[in-house]
Amino acid sequence: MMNNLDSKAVSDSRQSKTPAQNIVILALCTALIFVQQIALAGLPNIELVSFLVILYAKIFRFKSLYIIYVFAMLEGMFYGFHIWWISYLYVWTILALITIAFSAVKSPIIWAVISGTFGLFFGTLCAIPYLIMGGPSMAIAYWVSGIPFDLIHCVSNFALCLLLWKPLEKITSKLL
Amino acid sequence: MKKTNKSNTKTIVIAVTALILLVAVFFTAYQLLRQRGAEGAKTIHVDVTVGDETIKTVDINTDAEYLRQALEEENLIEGEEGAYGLWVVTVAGRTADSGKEEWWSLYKNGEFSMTGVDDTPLEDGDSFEYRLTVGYDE
Repeated sequence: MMNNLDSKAVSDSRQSKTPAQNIVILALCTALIFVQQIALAGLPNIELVSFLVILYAKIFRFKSLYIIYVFAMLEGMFYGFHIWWISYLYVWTILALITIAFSAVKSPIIWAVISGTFGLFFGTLCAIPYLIMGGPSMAIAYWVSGIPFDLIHCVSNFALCLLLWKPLEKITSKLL
Repeated sequence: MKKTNKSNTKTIVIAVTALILLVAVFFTAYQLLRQRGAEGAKTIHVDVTVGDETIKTVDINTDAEYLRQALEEENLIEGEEGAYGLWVVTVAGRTADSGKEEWWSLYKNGEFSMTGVDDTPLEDGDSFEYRLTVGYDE
């Protein structure tokens, strides 16, 4: 009975958000993902972008794409619209779509595996523009030279997701 | 309930094992495919370009297997150690001004190098160019 009441309260709270409130929440989430990216930029492939994209896609579902594309634009404006930026237009979208497809998953360990796998394949996904521009040899050279960083990315994504999933999922869910 | 828990545990074990296997595949691919420098004596050619002007051109005889060692033996480069290796700031006495978005791009045998100075392997007859580039979106 209590659970039913709780669910109703959550449901009412979700319905009570105005479009303006939703925009503010999405804007704050975008600011958070952008600021932490800059703050952690000095560390080799240790970042919270993957974790936050998974979290946002799990909570906000397709609305998370607004965050992803505004974030990509901000990155381009801050660092310059170089070739790597093209990959930002699809890598985070792929991660968000994978998350939405697996949204029924509850285990933090499975989310950590998804995040770690994404980190491992990050360089592979980013090699696609080099494949188009310079052919297979350039794409393979880019991919191979980045494998040590992909391995770091995998381990750090796995560990950060495992550590942060429960507390931050709880907090972010309340934003709905 | 017990059956569900057992099934969840099985899924987690399979997922973690699959990730570990993928890591092993990537590690093996790196060991097999990464470029290694040639052993023994070799001669490489290095040009340093600022705008349209070549400010330094030099042939280097070296036993180094990677570019950084060869250039440091000639005192051609200086830079800052970073997470990705040496970030080259000064080449042949010319320092890139980050305030003007200047940076040194590296070309190997006429092609933009996909590796930094630490990881660029050397072979006899290789030709390198350090080109002062302006703008981080170049």
